[in-house]
Amino acid sequence: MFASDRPHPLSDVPVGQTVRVEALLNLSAPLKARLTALGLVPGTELVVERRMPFGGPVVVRFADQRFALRRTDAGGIVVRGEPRCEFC
Amino acid sequence: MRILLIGQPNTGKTTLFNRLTGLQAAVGNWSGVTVEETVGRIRRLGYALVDLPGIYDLVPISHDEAITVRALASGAYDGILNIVDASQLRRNLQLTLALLSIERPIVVALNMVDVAEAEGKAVDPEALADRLGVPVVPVVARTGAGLDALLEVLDETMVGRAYAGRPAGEEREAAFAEAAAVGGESAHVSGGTAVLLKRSDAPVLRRRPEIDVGPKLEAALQAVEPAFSDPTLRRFLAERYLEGVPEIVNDVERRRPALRSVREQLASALHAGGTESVQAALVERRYAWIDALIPAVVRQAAPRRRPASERIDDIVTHPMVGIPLFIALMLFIFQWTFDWLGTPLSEALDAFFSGPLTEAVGRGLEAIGAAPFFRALIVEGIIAGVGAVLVFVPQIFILFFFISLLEDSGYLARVAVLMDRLMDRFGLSGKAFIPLIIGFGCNVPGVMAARTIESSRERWATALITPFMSCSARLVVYALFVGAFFSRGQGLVMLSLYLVGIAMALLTARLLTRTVLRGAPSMYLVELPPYRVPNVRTLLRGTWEKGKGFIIKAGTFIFGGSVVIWLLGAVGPHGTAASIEESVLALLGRALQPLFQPLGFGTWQAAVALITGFLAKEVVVATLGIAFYAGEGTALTAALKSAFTPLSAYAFLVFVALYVPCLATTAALFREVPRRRWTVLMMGYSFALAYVLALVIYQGGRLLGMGG
Repeated sequence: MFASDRPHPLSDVPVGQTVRVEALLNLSAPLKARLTALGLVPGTELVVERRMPFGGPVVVRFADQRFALRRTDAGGIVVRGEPRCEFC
Repeated sequence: MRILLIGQPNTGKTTLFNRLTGLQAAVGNWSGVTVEETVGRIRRLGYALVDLPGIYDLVPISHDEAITVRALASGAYDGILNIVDASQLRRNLQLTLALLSIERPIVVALNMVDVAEAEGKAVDPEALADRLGVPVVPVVARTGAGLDALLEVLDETMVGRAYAGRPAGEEREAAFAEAAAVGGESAHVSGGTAVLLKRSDAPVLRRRPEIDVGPKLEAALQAVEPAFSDPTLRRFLAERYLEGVPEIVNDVERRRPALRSVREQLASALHAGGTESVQAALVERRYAWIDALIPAVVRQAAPRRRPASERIDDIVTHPMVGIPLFIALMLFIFQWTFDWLGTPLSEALDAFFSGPLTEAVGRGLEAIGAAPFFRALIVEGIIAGVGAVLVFVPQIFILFFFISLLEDSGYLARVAVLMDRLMDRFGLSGKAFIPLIIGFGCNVPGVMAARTIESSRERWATALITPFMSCSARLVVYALFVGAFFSRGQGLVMLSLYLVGIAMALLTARLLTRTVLRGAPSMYLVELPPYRVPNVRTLLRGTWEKGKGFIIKAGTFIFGGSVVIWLLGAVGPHGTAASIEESVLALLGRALQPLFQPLGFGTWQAAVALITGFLAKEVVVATLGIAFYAGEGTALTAALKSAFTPLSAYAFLVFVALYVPCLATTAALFREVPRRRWTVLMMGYSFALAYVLALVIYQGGRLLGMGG
């Protein structure tokens, strides 16, 4: 169950949830380098837009850009939920 | 003057390149359309402009990115034209800042200002230029807006005087003063630029920013810089060296092994401070600088409703609807190409070739008193051979039109997301689907498109299976036979041939990635660019550029092939053959005929057509046209019906779908896959696969009583 007060792997985050990146762990060196260049670094806010079925890629949006990541790679990104706004 | 065109993927580099040079390099709306260097000339200035693959950062990850970094490191250029996507300013400027370490003239083309405005972002180019220390010109490459101003600024920047080295303190101020004194021209001061616009009275002085990288990194950079002789590239190369770009590391450490310890100590010092890598340290500093800059140069209107692209993606990448929609779209394209539009047009063209054209040419030749030999060569050789191929021009252009539409709209990137789970099962990623779809048009660009795949084993596997995709040349063979033998369900028969190719490609991928190309899973990160309403001009031009190769091939390769094949058919071992049955062509075919007997098409004509088909797959049709002495269209159909049954025709088509890549594709594979034996192995493998499959279909069909 996703709780916004503790860290989660990005792969567990439900669609529509806004989270903040805590750390990039367990990622291959090229992927880490690419994400770094794109500005996906600790502190970045991102939204999970879509999770493709059967364990397919996860689509995330951050800083006005949208990328698809594999579920296993998303598991290497540790995030923490933003408290949900009660009016949304 | 030689200018490098540098920018992030999908920012419109090639569109700008085409606009400035008048060339027609391929463009699309997905990351990685350009996979090699293309040189053109800016006519108005007489400068050479080099279009290079897009890069996100100066640390290359894929094969095509390495080409760009190598070009930058070579120093073989006078200036850089950096294209920046105004709608993605933050991450684009990260690259711009990295480029500023190259102390040569740089001009920023701020592209897609219209897209940015539509998103409510107004970028102030003057403010940006002041902060970056380089000229910034707003443009819309797709429409050509702002290009005159861009050329003017580029010229002013390039003819200026360059100051080598990195002057500091007073020396630097003196250099600026000297630059300002060079009235009416522009000048560059290393570490900064002083641009004096020709037509303005007041000189515009600009300085490049100095980004504080922290004491540890700065000390290491200064220790490394003396290893490079070119003062304008020192900082750039030192940064890449410390970031660990393999080619630069190898070069430096061969010359100065002692520097290795500087690099290693820096890495461990950064690690101790919690920074992942030198690259991360540099990128972090650049982003910090940019985040301070953006509020000063971008005016962001209140966010509007969700962008249309995201609303379209709600449907197109929907977990349940997405894949059925993709399949429906492919079926729709097939229907247009083969049934609804392509075939009627082809039939009309065929009627023209076999009727009025052949008669008119025949009468004309008779009237001018051409020798019977030449009459036969032209009518039975050239018109029959080239005509048999040209008849299919409509289908091919329709197919290329749809492929251009897919490329230009941004949909291909979505396909790479939709198909990832499926492709993963076969050891590839969803990105491999893009080269495969392009391969439907022509295998050669398909094989080349594999370059954007980061992992080498996946890239090679994708390139090697791309020839199983039925290209437009094979479509010509299918269309001829399907039209002749299957009166109902033509679309389905056609589709089954494409599916056989896809199935064999996937199975082969699994085989390759489980054996010779085994390895760790590769990097998968696919950007979903905003959708674009395709520009009609770009679309038609893209279709023409792709399709014209087919017409050129018909006019050259197939023309020549037809003449040679016809001559082989007219000449026997002892001079002129009395009939084609005694010709060299027939002898050649008969030698191989027994090989194909078990597959149901053991005629010498089919055997010869398959051999010549290696040159180009359309030649199969041209050869059959000549060998059956029938020409194109209705007469050829009748001849085929006497040599094939529907079952053996289908076995023949499956064989053609798979048997070997054509000459041009083989050459592309040799270029793209570094181990030659793999390409050779693949050719033997695909021939064997085609043989076994055709055998099973023919013999199996006979056992089931389908006639033979």
